[in-house]
Amino acid sequence: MISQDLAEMLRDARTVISNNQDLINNPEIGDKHLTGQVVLERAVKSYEKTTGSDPEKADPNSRQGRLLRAMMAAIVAATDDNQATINEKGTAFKGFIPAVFGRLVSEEFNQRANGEAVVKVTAPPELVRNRKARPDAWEANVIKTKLLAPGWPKGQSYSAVVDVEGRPAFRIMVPEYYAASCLVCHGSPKGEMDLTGYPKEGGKLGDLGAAISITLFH
Amino acid sequence: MVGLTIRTRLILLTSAGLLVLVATNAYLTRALSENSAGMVEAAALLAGIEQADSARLAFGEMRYWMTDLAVSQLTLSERNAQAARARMDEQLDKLAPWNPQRIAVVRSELAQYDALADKAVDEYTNDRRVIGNSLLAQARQHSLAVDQLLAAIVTDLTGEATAARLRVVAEAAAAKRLSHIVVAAAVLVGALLTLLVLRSIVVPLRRLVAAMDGLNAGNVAVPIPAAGADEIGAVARTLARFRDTLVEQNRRERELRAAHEELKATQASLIHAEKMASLGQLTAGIAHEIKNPLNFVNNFAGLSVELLDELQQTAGPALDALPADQRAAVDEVIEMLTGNLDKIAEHGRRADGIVKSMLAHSRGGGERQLADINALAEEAINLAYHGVRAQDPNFNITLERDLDRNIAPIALVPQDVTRVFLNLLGNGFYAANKRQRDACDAAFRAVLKVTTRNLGNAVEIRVRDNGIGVRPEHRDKLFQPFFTTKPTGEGTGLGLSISYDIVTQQHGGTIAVDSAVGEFTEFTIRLPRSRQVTMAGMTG
Repeated sequence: MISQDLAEMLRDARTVISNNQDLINNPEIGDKHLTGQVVLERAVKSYEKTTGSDPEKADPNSRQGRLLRAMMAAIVAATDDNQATINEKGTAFKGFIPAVFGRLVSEEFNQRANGEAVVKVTAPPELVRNRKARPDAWEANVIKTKLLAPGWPKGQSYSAVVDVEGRPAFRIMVPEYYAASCLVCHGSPKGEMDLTGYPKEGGKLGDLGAAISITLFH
Repeated sequence: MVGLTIRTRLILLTSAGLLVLVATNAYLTRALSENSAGMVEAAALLAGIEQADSARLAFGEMRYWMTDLAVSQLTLSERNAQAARARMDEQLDKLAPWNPQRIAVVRSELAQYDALADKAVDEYTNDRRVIGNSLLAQARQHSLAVDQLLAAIVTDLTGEATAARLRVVAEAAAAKRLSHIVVAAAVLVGALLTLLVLRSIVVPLRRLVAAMDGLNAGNVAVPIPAAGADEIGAVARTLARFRDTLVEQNRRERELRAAHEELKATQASLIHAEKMASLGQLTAGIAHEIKNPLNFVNNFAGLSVELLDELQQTAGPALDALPADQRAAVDEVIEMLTGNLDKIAEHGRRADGIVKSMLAHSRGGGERQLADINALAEEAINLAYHGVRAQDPNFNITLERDLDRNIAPIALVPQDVTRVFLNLLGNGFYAANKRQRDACDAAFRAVLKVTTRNLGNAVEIRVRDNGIGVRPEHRDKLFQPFFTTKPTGEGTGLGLSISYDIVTQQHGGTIAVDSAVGEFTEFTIRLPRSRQVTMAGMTG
């Protein structure tokens, strides 16, 4: 399923960035050799491990192949565009965190998808930090009525075919839950400033922290 | 003021003080109320300044966060901008009542800024920076307008608050001045009224105290303040009554003291009279017992003289036969015996006279009959004077009479009263004569005066001489039997004693003596017209 694959790839790349936060924020190391290619390779490995398939072997002429390649290119571009930041010596926290990375990748992907698909990392409105990640009406409704509904199965996505600005589209919302690493910035105590200078949301392990919204236009 | 009671005065004084207090309090309350309203107005204006400042601050925050939002795109900045906007709206809501039109203008400018800034942020979010910049530039114009409007509001509010504060201060100062004037006037008037009230109380009180002190010191003539209508007047009236009571008490006390003195004198007289009566009885008893032996002495003395004459006649022849010298011796003896017997007879008669006088104490006198006291006095004067002149031809005295011719005859025992007169006159002649002889003063003229007076229910006789007088220590003994200051043989000491008995016991009268040594002696006898059995006696 294309949308799930895109979401997995994005999630895997973001995990790489998350796992390398200490390295990225090490002020004593200059070149960290965490290039876009390095991030992609590690993400692909993770992707293969999760899905059991090699994304680079997807048919480039197929929609899946095009969009996966666009996603992988976006991962490389988002990483390489920020090499100066990542490698800046003398600065500890650099703000190149998984969420920012996810938004940058999404923005890169959307440019490369040529209107065929749109990927956005959004979240419940009260958890959104960057207004670019604000959910639209459909996304907000899905989060509220589905993903946050008491009986909603953990990890289950919601998808529907809807009309987007006059165009029929397949939309899916893939829930993301707080992992331990997420809670460093989004955990407790609520209101306490995190590393970025933003007040923590007071989230708990397993709470719905975000949703990857993917729109596939017909 | 004097016509009011002290209670009324004090009530009026207290009421005046309370009235001033209430009036002052009412004025101060009103002034405070107005001041408080001014303070509230000033406080409201200050609050308005604070609200306008807070609105400016909130607007500044809002602008900051909107700008931050445009750059960071963080929803936190958006929420902070919204919160600042809410605070600003809240402050504008508070300010609105002060000047709704100006606040409406502020809100209008604010709304335009907000709309343009929101659009600008949206354009930044959608990566259309040029349009975002243009919109922000437009928003900045409205931002400046809001800022200027709020600054003007702050300036105006500050001016109004200052004016209100100055007005409050001026009103407070005026109230304070007036309050001081009222308090000073109240103190002055209160002090004056208090002095007047105190004076109206203290002055009469001092007079009362002076009157009380005077009365306490026994001065009943001390002036007592006029009795007014107040409480002090009541005290003055009571004090006047007390003074009257004191005067009456003093009078009664004097009367009581006089009565007491009279009683003491009467008691002394009674004791004296009793003593005199006892002495009289004793004297009579002694005289009675002596009279018989004395009769024997007198009788046998006379008989012995007769027997001696018979002896001479019988023994005459024999005696003639005796030699001349023997005859002379016998004649001498007979002559001596005759002389002795004559002396025995003479002294026996004298003793008999004494005994008779003594017996006169108990004899009881003769018949009482109406007699002219003046005639009795004249008779006694003549008898006494010529009696003395017979014994002493050189005796000379001026006799003065002041006899009341209006004295009606009085019932008495004439011979006894004459005897009293004779005793008194005899004593008077003796004293005057003695002074004349003792003084060897040629200029001295002996005078004896007899005075009679009709006292209505009594007759008074005074016998006064200007002789040697009676010494004080002899006064009490004067009427005792056998007391005499005359040389032996010249007085028996019974004259005044018998006179005393005749006047007091027999006639129920009084006999008194007044004397100054070397100047005079005056006996005063009072004989009542209707005999009363009184025990009155010597009073001098």
